[in-house]
Amino acid sequence: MSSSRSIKNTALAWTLLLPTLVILGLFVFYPAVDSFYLSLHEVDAFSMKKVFIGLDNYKMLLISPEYWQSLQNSVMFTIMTVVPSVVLSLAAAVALDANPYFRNLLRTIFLMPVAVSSAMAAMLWIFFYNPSSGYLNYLLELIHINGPNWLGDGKWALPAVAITTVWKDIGFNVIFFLAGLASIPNDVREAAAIDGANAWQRFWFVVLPMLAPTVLFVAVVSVINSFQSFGQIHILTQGGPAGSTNVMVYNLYRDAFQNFQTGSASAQAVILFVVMLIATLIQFSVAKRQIRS
Amino acid sequence: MAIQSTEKRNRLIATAVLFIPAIVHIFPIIYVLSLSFKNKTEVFKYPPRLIPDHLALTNYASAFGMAPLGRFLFNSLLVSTAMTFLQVFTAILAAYALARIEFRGKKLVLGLIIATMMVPGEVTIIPNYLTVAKLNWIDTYQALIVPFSASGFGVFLLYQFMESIPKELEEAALLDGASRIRFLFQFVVPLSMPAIAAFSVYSFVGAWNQYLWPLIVTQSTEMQTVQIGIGMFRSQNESMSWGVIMAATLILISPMLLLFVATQKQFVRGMTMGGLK
Repeated sequence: MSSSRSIKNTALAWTLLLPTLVILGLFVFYPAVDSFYLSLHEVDAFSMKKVFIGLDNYKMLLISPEYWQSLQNSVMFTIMTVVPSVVLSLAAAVALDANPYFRNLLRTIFLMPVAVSSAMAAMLWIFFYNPSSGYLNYLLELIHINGPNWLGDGKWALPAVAITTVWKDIGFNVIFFLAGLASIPNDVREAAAIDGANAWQRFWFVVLPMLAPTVLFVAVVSVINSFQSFGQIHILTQGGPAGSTNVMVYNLYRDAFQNFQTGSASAQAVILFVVMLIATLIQFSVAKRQIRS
Repeated sequence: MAIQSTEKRNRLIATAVLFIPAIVHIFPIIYVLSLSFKNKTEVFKYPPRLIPDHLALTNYASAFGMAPLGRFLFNSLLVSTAMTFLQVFTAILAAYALARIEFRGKKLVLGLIIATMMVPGEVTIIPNYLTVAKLNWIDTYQALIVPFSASGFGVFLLYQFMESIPKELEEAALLDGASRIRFLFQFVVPLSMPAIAAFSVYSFVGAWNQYLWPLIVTQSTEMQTVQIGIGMFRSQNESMSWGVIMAATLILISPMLLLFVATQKQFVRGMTMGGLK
């Protein structure tokens, strides 16, 4: 009796799991393994015939200056987006949390870019960067600075894409910081105030340590998001000028779908996977240590 | 008393300090709104003025003539709705099995499903493209929807929620297979509504904002989603007036912005849950 029921239960469980397992198997597990398999082959663009070449795709990438530049661009882009977006959104969240006036209006303004995709964010900013008629260089001229040709200058294109990305990411981060701030009990802050701590001391010695896990969490998510950035780059610069905004994901896209180098692009996918996994693990171990101390 | 007055002063400072970045933050949208009313030459007038000369809607009308904006919006709505529905449905079934039924191999399955959350989409995109091409699905709705019709994250989220519902409910009813399914939809699903709603928002926004996948699996203009369709304006900007491009951007951005303003609370809850990914 009970064993027939357990068989029935098992059958039901697997039936309910079937749709999820089939889809995830076909479109996550199989391609993850296949990416690795393809990365060990040279794949003909037309016949799709595969020749095993061992680690040659990886070796070629490691001596390719273009690929190294894309790695460097990704790291630079991550630094240029994560640091400002974490600092600015933390500041905005603390101010939003303390401020009792126009609460909903101000919250809505800061959170709104959450509803904007990276491609649309790029469209909102593209004319702003126009060298001769855009508002950014007009504002710079007001303070007597000769603005660069933002998207057309190898030095300024990556920072320009980063500014747009930071604008878009702030709303997302503010949501988490507001949630973190809301979980800090009010009496802790009041006790510090009664002990004579001023607003800055209360933030630095009371609020920030309690917010540390949230800060780290937001940083992890931001790093991962930065590494995956694609839409805004595709719209604003298409990797240019002269490869200055060609980040890892963009390079992968170009090699896979424009240059039809399936093997090499697969090796890039595997490297991207490993890099992102390491980033996540490092950040998690830092987070754990922070929480313990 | 003294504490209260400095408290009050601090709050006023916070408000004042907030208004400046708030204006900076919303400026790109205001700027694009202003550009969308300007004609071909006015856009390039220097120094630029935020108040346009005329408030004519001609650019908006031209934008609809330049590209099938209605079709883009329809495609995005169809694809995002279908994807959300399928992800929620498959996640409910799988989460229920994992959270409420005892069977062998459960821990392994749960582990595998959680592992899929660690695999970024960029890593699987080449084999997935080859699969979809083999199925002759390039430039179809199936290509846009089917690969994303299940979500490891959705299963995990609902699993955690369903686990917290007291088990006695089920044991009292002494359920066999058929009545278990009824129990799932009559009791577990309604009780899990907060998690289901949050995940639906997260899933819908994610689907709507997808870029790389629809970029590679769509070819014809008729199949493009909002995110890809806007690129048409970007690549043709030599011949097209910037005012028209900006009008098109605002048209295509507005459904999500309106959804956000109308459902801010649920929207934010969906994003916070999603961010735990």
